[in-house]
Amino acid sequence: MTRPASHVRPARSASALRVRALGVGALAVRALRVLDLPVRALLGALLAGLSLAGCAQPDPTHSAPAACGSAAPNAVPVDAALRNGRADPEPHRVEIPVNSPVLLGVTSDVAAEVHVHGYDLVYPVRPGSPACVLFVAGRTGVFDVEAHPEILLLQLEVR
Amino acid sequence: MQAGSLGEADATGVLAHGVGSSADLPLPLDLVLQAGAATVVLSFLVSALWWREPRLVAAEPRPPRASRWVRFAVLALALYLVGNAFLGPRGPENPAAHAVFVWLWVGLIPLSVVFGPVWRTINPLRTLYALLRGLLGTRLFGGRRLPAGGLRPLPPGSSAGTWPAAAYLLGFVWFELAAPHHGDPVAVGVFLLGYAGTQLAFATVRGEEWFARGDCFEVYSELAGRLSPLQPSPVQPSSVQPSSVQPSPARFGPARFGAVRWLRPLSGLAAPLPAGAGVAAFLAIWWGSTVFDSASASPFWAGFVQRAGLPVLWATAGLVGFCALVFAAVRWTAGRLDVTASLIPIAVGYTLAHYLSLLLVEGPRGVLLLLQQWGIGAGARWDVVPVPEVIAGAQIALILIGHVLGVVIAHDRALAADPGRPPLAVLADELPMVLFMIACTWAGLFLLFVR
Repeated sequence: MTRPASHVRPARSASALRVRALGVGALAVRALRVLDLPVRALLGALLAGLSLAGCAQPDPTHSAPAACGSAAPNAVPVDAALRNGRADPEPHRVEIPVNSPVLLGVTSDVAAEVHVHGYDLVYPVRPGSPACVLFVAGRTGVFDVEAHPEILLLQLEVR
Repeated sequence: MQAGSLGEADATGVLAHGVGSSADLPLPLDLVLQAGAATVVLSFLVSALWWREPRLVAAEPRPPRASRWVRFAVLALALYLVGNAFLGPRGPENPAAHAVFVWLWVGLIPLSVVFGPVWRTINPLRTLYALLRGLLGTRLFGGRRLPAGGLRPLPPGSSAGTWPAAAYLLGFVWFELAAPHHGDPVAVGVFLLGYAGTQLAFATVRGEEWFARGDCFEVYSELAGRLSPLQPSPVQPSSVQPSSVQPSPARFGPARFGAVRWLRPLSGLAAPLPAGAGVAAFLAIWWGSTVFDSASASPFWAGFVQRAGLPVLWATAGLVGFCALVFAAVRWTAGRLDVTASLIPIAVGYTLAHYLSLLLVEGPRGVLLLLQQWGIGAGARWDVVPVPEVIAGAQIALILIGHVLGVVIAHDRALAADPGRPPLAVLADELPMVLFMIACTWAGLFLLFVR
C-alpha cells in the first residue's frame, strides 16, 4: 500500500505518454464505433426518457469549465464539476482511447474527495482550488469518477 | 488496490465501491443483435422442431457430502471473518466485503452449478446450530436437549414454502445494492450478525429444517445446484434429509467421500420445485436485483437520483420495483404451466455474465487480503485485467446457454404435462412462457449493451 501524496500520479513512462499512431485496427474500431454510437445514444435517450419524463440528455456541448490549464497538450482533457451536491453537467460517459493520457479536472463548491475507479486515484478538491490529475488510461473498461460519498460525476469509457 | 488518499481520507468510502462495481466495457452492438436474434431462433427451434416428446428424467438434487472437518473449517473461517469485520482494519484491506459480496454471493453459483447444493453441506449456520444443540445437551446445561424439530415445529402436512428465504434475500440484496456504507467492514459485520442471530432463532423455533427454506444462501445454492451434473449416491437417508437427522453430535460422522454419479443433463431442473410461489418470488428477487444492479450503474440513473435527492429511498424503491415487476410477470405468465424452473438457468446465466469479471478480479484479491492480514504473501498483488473481447464472448455465451436451457425445460415440462396433446396446442400453451424468457434475455443483453 504505497500512498502517493501528490495530486498527480506520475505517468507510467514517457513512451506511454506519446499518443499512439492510429493503426489499421484502430481505424476499424473507430469505423465500428461510428455505426455503434447513434444506436447507443438512441437507446440511452429512450432509457432516460423512460426513467423520468422530461429529463434531458446531458448536453455534450455544455461541459464544465476547463479546470486545468493546457499543461499537457497531448492529454485528453476531461472536466467535471460538483455543484449543490450534483454533477454539472449531468453524469455522462466520456470515451477515451486506451493508453492515451487523460487530464482530469474537477471543480467543486464543497470540499470533497474525487475517486477515479479502476485506476484507484483518490485526491481532494476544495472550493476555489480545482483538482487536476494526469494519468495514462492504460486499462480498458468503464470506470466511475465519483465525488465521495457516492456522487457520480462521469464515467470514463476506455477502449 | 492502492488508494492514494490524503490525510484523513475516508478509507471506507473507497471500499464501498471497490467491490461490487463492474468495469466491463459495454457489449458490442453487432454481438448483441446477433445474440438477440439467436435467442428467438433457438427458442422456436427447440420448442417447435427439435423436441417432440418429453425426454428429461427428474432427479432431486442432493447435497454433496463433506467431512466434518470441512464444515468446521468453513465455520471457523466465517467466525473469523465476522470477528475481523469488527476488530480488524476498517479500511479496504479488510476482506469482509469480498467474502460476502464476491465469494458468497457470486462464488456460490459456479460452485453449486458444478457440485450441487453445496451450501446445505457446509452452511456454517447449520454447523453452529448442531454444535449449540450438542452443547445444550451436555451435563453442563442440565442435559435438556432441544427437540429435533424445534420448540414449535410446523404442524405436519402444512406446506412450508421458501417465502422466508425470499424475504431474507430481499434484505441481502437491499444491503448490497441500496444500503449506505455497505462496504464498511463494520456494516458487513452487523449485517452478518443480524442474519446469523435471527436465522438461529428461527431454527430454534422451527427445527433444523428451517435452514432449507429460510436461509437464502441455502435456497440460492439449491436452485443453482439443480444445474449440476453430479449426484452423490445415497449412503443413508439421514444424510439426505436433515429433518430426520438424529439430534446429536454423532451426525458429524466419518467422512464419506463416496460414489458420485453423473446425472442425465438437466435432471435437476426437471425435478419438482418446492411448493408455493415462494420459489418464484426468490427467483424474481435474484434476477430482478441483478438487473437493477446493471441499470443503476448507468449515468442516467445516477443523474436521476442526483436531481431527485434521497438516494437510499430511490435505490430501495427501484430495487423493490424491479423485483416486484419480475414477480408479477412470472405469476402472470403462469397458467397451467409455470415458468419458475426456466428462470433458474436464466438467472444463473445472467448473474454469472454480470459478475464474471468481478469474480475473476476481486475473488482472488479477497483471498490475498485475508492472507496478507496474517503476514503471508505481503506485497503480492492480483492485477489481472480480463481481456474485454473474452469477457464479452463469455457473457453472451452464458446468457444464451441460460436461455436455451430455460426454453428446453419449459418445453419439456409442457410436453410432459399433457402427453397426448397435439404439438401446435403445446406450442400455444408455452408461448407466453417463451415470450417472457425472450423478454428476460433481451433485457439482460440490452443492459449489458447500454451499461
